Amino acid sequence: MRRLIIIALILSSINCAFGQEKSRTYSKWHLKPAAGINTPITTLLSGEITDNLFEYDDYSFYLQFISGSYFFSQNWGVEMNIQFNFSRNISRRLDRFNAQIQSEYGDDYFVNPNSTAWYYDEDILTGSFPRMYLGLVYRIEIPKYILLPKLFIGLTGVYPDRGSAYLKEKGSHTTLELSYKQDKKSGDQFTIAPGISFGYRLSKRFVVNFDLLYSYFKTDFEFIKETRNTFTEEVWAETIDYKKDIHTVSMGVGLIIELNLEKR
Amino acid sequence: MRINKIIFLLTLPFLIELLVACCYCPDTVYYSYTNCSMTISVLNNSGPRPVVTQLNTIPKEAFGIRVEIHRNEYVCETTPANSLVFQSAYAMSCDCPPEFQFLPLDEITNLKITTVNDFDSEHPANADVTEYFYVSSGYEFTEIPDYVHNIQSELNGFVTPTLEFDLLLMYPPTLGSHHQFSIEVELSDGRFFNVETEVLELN
Repeated sequence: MRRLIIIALILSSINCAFGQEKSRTYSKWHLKPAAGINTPITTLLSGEITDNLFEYDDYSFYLQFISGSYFFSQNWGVEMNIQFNFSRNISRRLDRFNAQIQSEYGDDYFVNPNSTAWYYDEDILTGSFPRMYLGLVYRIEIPKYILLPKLFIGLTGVYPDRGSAYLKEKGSHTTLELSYKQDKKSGDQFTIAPGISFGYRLSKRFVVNFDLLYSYFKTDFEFIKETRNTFTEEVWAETIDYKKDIHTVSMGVGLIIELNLEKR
Repeated sequence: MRINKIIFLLTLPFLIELLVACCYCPDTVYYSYTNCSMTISVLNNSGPRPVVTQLNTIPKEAFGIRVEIHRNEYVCETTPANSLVFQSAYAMSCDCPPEFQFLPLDEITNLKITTVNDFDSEHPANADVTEYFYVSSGYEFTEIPDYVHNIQSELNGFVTPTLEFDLLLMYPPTLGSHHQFSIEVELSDGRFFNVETEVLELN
């Protein structure tokens, strides 16, 4: 009951706010730099060694340098966003990969310190993964406030890399080579993302805004872990599935810069 | 004008040698070497890598033998190629053959390991157990005949004249605990190196 009252109050306040007189001009172009955080509802990573081979993290913050909207009518427009999503875990994944190998096998094996992962993106210091969205946006505007509900489709980059480790059994000559390889289905994941932006007008051309975006993508790929006895050449293979539905909420703040003002 | 001609004539030899030096390969100087002696050490491979041990008790799953073939250098031929004008230092790479090459007077043709005591039901005392030992190089293993066949005998330097390799016992004994092995290396000139381990307790 309390929730219903709160929702009713919010809706009525929005209704009051947007019931005011409309601005006399509207902008055809919006530039929208923004920054925010991504918080998972469901996670892709689940504590496996192979988690450290992803150039992806469930928790991240994003920077949205390249973003803009074009309104082909007073209310309807298209919007494109390119986000770079950063996480400290991505830049530290090599250390965590080695530490997790040590943790899993260290009781029975000596882990060769040259065990490593090969990353396609060599610049692991700035570890980031990209997101790109394109979609429709609807504009509801009064002089001080803007409401922008939107629906995007896009791509989320989930790029897995390769890893390997050499193990020597304690007290014997037995040596193993572990290798982790991904199948071909990984890479860019198709994403659906409805969202809404609330804006407060600071001046004629500048609006500060709060973005709320829900995104969904489905992963359907797997890692193949091979364990090879380097003497007998026996190979054991197992798969580590990443078949998951990933739901994420992104929240951020930004600035809308309005260009090309036109009279209504 | 005359001064210019004199300067040109004086610098002409330098210019010619400079042009030649751009892609001049000095003749390879050949040396030869010979295999002189062999020593062995007992290895314990229980740790991250094989280490030489003085103990006579070793886990049988981690037993190995380090073989060292000591080689000596014999100078057979030298062909100095000194310039009258420059020292022999060339900046350009012309895919030249190595400046020095060491060729063996004798090559290792065979390596055989025999057990002094009973090893298992198929290998009584004095039986050949070479097939149970493998040459280890990090995480890869090579059968002894293949290793001997592929020993790089032509060397481009003689910085480490000793040939060293580790033989790891990959199939431990099933009979008894006291074992002794004899390692025999045969050379192409008909000589043999033969060394025995001490009596070891493999448990």
